[in-house]
Order: sequence, then C-alpha cells, then structure tokens
Amino acid sequence: MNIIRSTFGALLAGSLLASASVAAEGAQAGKKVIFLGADDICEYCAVYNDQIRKLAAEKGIDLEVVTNKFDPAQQATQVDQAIAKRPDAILLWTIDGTALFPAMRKVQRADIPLLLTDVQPDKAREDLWVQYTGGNYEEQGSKSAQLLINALEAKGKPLEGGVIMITGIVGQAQTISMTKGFTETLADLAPNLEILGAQPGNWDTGTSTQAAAGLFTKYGDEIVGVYAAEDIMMQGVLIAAERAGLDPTEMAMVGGGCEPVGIKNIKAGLQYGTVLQSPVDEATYAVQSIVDLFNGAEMSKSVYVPHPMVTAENVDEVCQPWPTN
Amino acid sequence: MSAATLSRTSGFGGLFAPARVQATVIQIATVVMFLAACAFIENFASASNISSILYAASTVGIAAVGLASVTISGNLFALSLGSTAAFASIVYIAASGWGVLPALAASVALGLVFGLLQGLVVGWLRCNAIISTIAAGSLIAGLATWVSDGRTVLAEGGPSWLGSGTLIPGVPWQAVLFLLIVIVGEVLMQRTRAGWELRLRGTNPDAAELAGLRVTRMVVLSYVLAGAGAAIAGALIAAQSGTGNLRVGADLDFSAIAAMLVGGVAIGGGRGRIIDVASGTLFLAVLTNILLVNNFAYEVQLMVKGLAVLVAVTAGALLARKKR
Amino acid sequence: MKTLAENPLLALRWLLLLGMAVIFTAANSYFPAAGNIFALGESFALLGLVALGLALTILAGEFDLSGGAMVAVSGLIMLKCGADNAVLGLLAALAFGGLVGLFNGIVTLKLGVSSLVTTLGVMILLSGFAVWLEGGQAINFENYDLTDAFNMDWFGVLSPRSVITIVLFVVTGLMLAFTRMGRDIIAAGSHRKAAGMAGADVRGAVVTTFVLSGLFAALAGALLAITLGRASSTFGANLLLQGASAAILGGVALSGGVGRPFGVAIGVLVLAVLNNGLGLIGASSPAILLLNGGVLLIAVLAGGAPATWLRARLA
Repeated sequence: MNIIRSTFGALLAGSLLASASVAAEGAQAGKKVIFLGADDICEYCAVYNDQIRKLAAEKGIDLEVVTNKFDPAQQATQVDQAIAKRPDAILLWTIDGTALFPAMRKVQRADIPLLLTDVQPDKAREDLWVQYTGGNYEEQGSKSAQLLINALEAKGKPLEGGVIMITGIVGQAQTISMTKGFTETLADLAPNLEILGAQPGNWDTGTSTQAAAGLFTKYGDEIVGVYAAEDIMMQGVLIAAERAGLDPTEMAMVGGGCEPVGIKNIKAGLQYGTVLQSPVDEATYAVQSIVDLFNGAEMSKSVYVPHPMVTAENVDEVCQPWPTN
Repeated sequence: MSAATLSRTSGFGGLFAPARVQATVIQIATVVMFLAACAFIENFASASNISSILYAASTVGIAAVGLASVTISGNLFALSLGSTAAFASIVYIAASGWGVLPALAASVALGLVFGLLQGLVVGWLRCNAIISTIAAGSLIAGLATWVSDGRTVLAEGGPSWLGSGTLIPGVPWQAVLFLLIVIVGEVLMQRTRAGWELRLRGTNPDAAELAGLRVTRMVVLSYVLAGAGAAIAGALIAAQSGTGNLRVGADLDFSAIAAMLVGGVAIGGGRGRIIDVASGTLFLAVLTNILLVNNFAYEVQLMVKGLAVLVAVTAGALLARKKR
Repeated sequence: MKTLAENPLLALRWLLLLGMAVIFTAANSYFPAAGNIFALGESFALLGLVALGLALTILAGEFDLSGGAMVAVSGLIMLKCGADNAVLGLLAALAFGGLVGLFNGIVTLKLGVSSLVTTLGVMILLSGFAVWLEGGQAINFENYDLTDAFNMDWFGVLSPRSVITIVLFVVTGLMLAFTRMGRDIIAAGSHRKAAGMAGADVRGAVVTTFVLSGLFAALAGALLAITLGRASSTFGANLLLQGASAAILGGVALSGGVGRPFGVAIGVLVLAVLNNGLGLIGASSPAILLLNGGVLLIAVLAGGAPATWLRARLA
C-alpha cells in the first residue's frame, strides 16, 4: 500500500513527471507517444500502467498515459483527442476488441503510426496498425485446456467426465477468445471430457464463488476439472469447492494469469496450474515496440508475450511477483 | 398516509392489509419456492448449497438493511454502497493481521465515517440525496484507488471463522451476523423512538419537521447505518475470499435496492420493515441459486430477476388495490 | 448579481464550465483545438441524449432507470437488424425503444407505483435481453461507408451525432415552452392532482416522457453502434449515473416540474468537459474519480443549505 504520495501534483500528472529527463540512447528519445490504456481499478492494468511509465522513462520516451473506465465510447473520443495532439505515435489498449476500427481508420488517415497492446482485434484488419504486442487470448484458453488434461494425467485419472468453466464478463472480446480457445482444444484433445456448464465470474472472486457453488451443487461428483479464466476467479472456485465438501486436489483446477493469489494457491497444492500472462512482460514488449518503431527496425504484425503453462514445479521460475510502487 | 402505515399491524388480517400485502406475499413465496426447490431439485437442500445461498444473502442483505433506513426515512436510495464495500474489503484484509474482530471494527469505522459525512451533507446541508451519494461514491472509489494503488490485497494465513466458519453445517457465521443485524434493525425501527421518528420523516417530511422531530439527526443516522451496512458487507466478502480489491461490491448498489424493493419497502419512504428487507433478500438469493443450480444461462438469470422485481411490485400494487 | 441571488446553481454551472475551460486550456494547449472540440461533441451526444430523456421523466415527476441498459440493447438491435439495411436497423431500434418506454409509462401509471421500481425491473430485464441478443458473439458492423459518414466532421468541430443531439435539445426545449404537451408535462411534475383536475392530460404527458426517454436512449445506442462499428451488452454501463448527475447538475429537481433542456445541456457539458480535460492532461485513475466526485459535490452543495444562506446574504 502506498498511502503517502509526495504531492497531489504527482497524483494528477504522474505520467508527465515520470518521463522527466533521463538521458537515453536511440531515436525514440524525446518522441511523444500517447498511451490509451485501462483504468487502475483492475489490478493487472494498474501494474501495467506503472511498468510502462517506468520503462518509457528509462528509454527517454515522452509517454502520456490516458486511462479509461472500460468504456469503448469514451475510448473512441480519447482517440479523437489523441489525434488532435499530433503525437509521434499512439499506443492503444483497445478496451473492447473491435469497437475501435473506425477510430483506428481515423488514426491511419491522420498518418500517425498506431501500435496495439494487450487486446488483439480481428487480424483481418491488421492493415490498420503497425504492430500488436501482448497476450494471445485464444492461445491462453487453448493452453488452459492442455493444462487441464495434463492435470488429470498427473493425478492418474482418465480423460473423461465433466468440466465446468468460469468465464470473464460476457461480451468482452477477451472472454470470447479465451472461451473459444479452451472449448476447441478440449474437444480436440480429449473428446470424452464434456463441458457441463459455464457461468460468468466477471473477473471477480465473489461472483465466481456463487457461480461455481451453483454448478458444484448441480453436478457435484461428475466434475473432474474446473477452468477459471483468471486466478482471482479460481480463488472463488476453490472457496466454493471447500464449502461443497469437494477436494480440490482431486480435481484438475486450472486458472490463468499467474496472479499473486494463483501463485499462493498453486504452492498450497489447491490449484494445479495457471497460464502466464504478465503485465510486466506486456509493458516491456509495448515499450520495445515503440523503440523499434522509431529506430526503423523490422516489425512483424503480431508479437506475443510468452504464455508458458505453470505448475507447482516451475511456478517460482516463471511467475515473478508483481512489482509494487 | 394511512393509519395502517404507522401503527404496528397485528393478527392475520394485518398481514394482508394494503400496506403489508406485498411483504406478506413475498414471505410466503420465498417459503413456497424454497420448499418446492428442496423437493424437486437434487442436492438443493444439501448443507453446502444452503450455506451458499446464505453467504450470498448475508452480504447483500446487510447492505440492504442499512440502505433501507435511508429509504424508509424518505431519501430514496444511496449509490455509494459499492465503493464503500470495496474500500472496506481492502481495509479488512489490510487489518486482518490484528484478528477478525479488530479488522471488522476497522472496516465498520470506515463505513461509519463515510456514512456520517454523507448524512451531514444530505441532512444538515440539505443537499440532493441522489447526487450527494453519487459524488460520495466517486470520491470513495478515488480514495480507495489511491490508497490501494489498484492492487489486490491478500490475507496472510488461512481462512478465518468469519470467512468460512459455520454455527452448524449449512449455517455460516455470516448468516448468524445477518440475522442479528436484522433483529436489531427491526427492533430499532419498530420499537424505539428513533425508529418511529425515522419512519415518520419518510411518510411526511414537512409534518415531521413541524411536529418538532429530530429530523436532521434522523437523516444523519440513516446514512451512518447505510455506510456501516455497506462496510460490513465489504468486510464479509473480503473474509470469504481472503482478498480485498476495488472490484468488490460492483453490483452491490442495485442488488441491495432490488432486494429491498422486492421485499415490500416503498421507495418513497415511510412504508416497509427491516424484516421485509430480509425476506426480499432471501427471495432473490433463493431464486438466483435455483437458476444457477440448474445452470441457466446468464441472460436468463438476469431476465428472470428483472421479471421477479416487476412481478413482485405488480402483485403488491394490485393486491393492495383490491383490499382498499 | 441578480442571477446568482436567484439561482446559485445556474450561475455555478457557468462558473464551473468557464473555470474548467480556462484551467484545461492553460494546462494543455490542445484543449481548444478543433479535434478536441469534435471529441467533446461526441461525448456530449451520447450522454446528452440519455440525460435529456431521463430529465424529461424527472420533469414529469417520474424517473427512468432503464436508459443506460437501453443503449446496449438498441445498439445490438441496430446492428443485428441493420446489417444489410441500416435504415431498417435504426427503425427497429427506435421502435423497440419507444415500445419499452410505452410499457414503462403504462405500467407505472396503471399500478400507481413509483417508476423507480418499474424501471429498475425493466433495467435488469433489458441487460439480460442484451446478453441474449449478443449470444456470446462479437457483433460488428461491416458497413464502413456509413460508419465513416457518421465519423466525419463539419467545420472541424461538429459531428452528425452532435448535431442531431443539439437539434433534439432545441426541439425538446421548444416543445416544453410552447406546446400544450409541454405545459402538461411540467404540470404533471409540479402539481399532478391539481393539473389533472384542471383538465391537463397528465397521464398522456407522463407516458409521452417515458416514450421519449426510450426513443432518445435507443437513438443514442443506435448512433453509438454505427459510430463504433460494434455493439455489445457491456455498452452504456456508466450512462445511468452520469445521466442522472448531468440532469440534476443541470437544474432538474427530483421533486418534478423544475428544470429545462438548456440547463440539462449545460449539466452534460460540465461532465463532458471535465472528463475530456482530465483525459487530455493524462490524469491518473484516482484523480479522475476524486475530481468527478468533487465537482458533483460542489454542484450539490450549491443546491442545498449553503446556497440558501448565500441567497439570503445577497438578496
């Protein structure tokens, strides 16, 4: 916790102060980049925002961070604003997968290079941006399915029975992609594992607890595995399992994100594994993307952060604790 | 304002008096629905399922009881409950090293202070009740974001008795706390002078003022109770999950309002009892659980809940009219 | 000082608006740039339509909670029915909005209960309906010509959406000031019983405000979907609280009968300018929340006892 900040000014315009004079090498130094990102209310986003401010300052990039309360309409107007400021580049975290194509077309027409981070929109439109760096949600869902199968094998169980899913907020692009990746891979690799039910956990522990509790009541012993799209939602599943008198170590419990609570549960043996998506990696890749852009490096359309599967064996190497301020 | 609104209703006829009929119908409906679910839905009556209904009901219910004091005293509703609960969840986990009760006390203290400030703005400075609480919600969320830096705080060690302990299998301590709060609230509202003044303020603010009642103090009190209720709800959610963050309580405001209205509390003030809030909460909790246990899609759950609010209110209004 | 003495809230809104414009211009030279004014107009258009509809219902002594959820549903209807023919989609969205408004109005009046309760039920129902319409898919709009047409700028600062919104504010203002229906709406909010006895069509007026509220919200949602090229059940989530704030900030009294569209427009502008400016200077998340709360608090204090005190001093 960070109760005391030096000045209210720092609070107001942390980005402007953070990018103060640091002598840095390269053509990116001094370039003005506007980052349209997400609100600190989501922990992942808060870590990302802190990291990208820090890393951009190290490279001498004049980065301005604009946050958004998960409102695509607001973000579309933020794009208009950003264009009005004529920056050297715009880095965009699209709050909602595809809502911003029209806005991206405006950026293109204004001749401002566009980089994307965290959410990858439909690749059919990739002529609109220079490069996407960040997570691959479909791959994450797919890896989670693989991990769930590994878990059953590790526990010496047959690849048959019921699986339940706790997803993110219905309608979000990430939720749609993760669900697609998970269900398709599971159907491919283990056709005898049946998805009995899916409920949204809204990226929230409490909602996930209730959703999982309902599914445990209905399906009980039929369930051999649970996929929760985020570790913080898996925490809710574990609470519900304990209340239902089910032993989580006997089931294939798979989360996502390598979040602090997930690390804790994996070490305690309650959760079998998770799939890494690190805000530190994503912010690092995004800053590298900016550096490459201004230094004329060759840039491919998509660069994905690594999504290794994580279990108790490699949790300490792979999952670095999230830095605090 | 009818005499029935203010006097305590008694006997069988009283239960179906126009002012009470919706509350009574919901109470009966809750029991019928519960029994039917026990009979027809496999595992519904299991201890673990009952406890999951009670966990869900306790948090929303405690917030709704606090909120009801604002509504009954004639200030519609407060929209700062969610952010108060979020901040309280962070405080609870941060203070959980001191033990369960001190941590709970710290969260409640936070809720009391926020409630008091809102009460002063609405009651003493006579400001618009809705906007004051929207403003407060934004300010509280801002403070919570600043203090927590957006990070989730994790509790050290295992779950506490408040988070997962049960009195008997199926009845968690959180439900016992909910019951206690309902009893205290009911007695406070129906049997004390303060409660009477609060209700009268809601029935007719001008008359209450002219009659020399302590109107300002009552309004401040109602917001203090609402703040405390929201903070306890936040602390209970945090105790269950061992985590505190800004997402806690995202749906709390409208869940609490819906529970209270379904139970038969009139949004305009004056009519309704704390016991009605409890029955409205349980009604929605049982309904939600039935839908979840049958793995109905999320959209169906939302639509059924919306219909339940409409039907409960429609039935209440039609039955009350018939009686008149 | 006459205005200040009569209505401190009115004066304060202007003061807030001017003060913010000066501060943001000083903090960031791009604030008055044409591109930014265009962006401001886009925010005004979305929030403005929802706030205007809500304000009409408050004016008639009611309260429509369902506007935000309607924005999500109407956007989805627009894109699902309008994939081939946009006009058809727009008409379907508007028809749905009008029908839901009609339902809200009739049920509220027939039952004689508070519209806060009926529209809360409808609000939850609509959010479920939106998720159902969406069906777990990403709903996109491939008609980029239309999207581009809605994203063009006139004179650098006005968008089709903001012009439509301004026109509707003016028309609604004129309707309230000069038509019988307008007088009936205000009468329904200020002295419903007396107005009914005096021969005003109170019931018609109340139903009309709900229908207009549904239509405006549906229009806002449909235009948003066209502009963004996408519809989702998550859209419009923040609009209810912002709309209510804007309406009350704009001088609309919850007790009914008081307030005009022009004031609401100023209320919407205060919130739009605040968030536009904060975005422009790159304010942090807590600062945005604290300043939004702070501005609402200042506005709300101006409507309470401190204002009465001030009025007494200045009179």
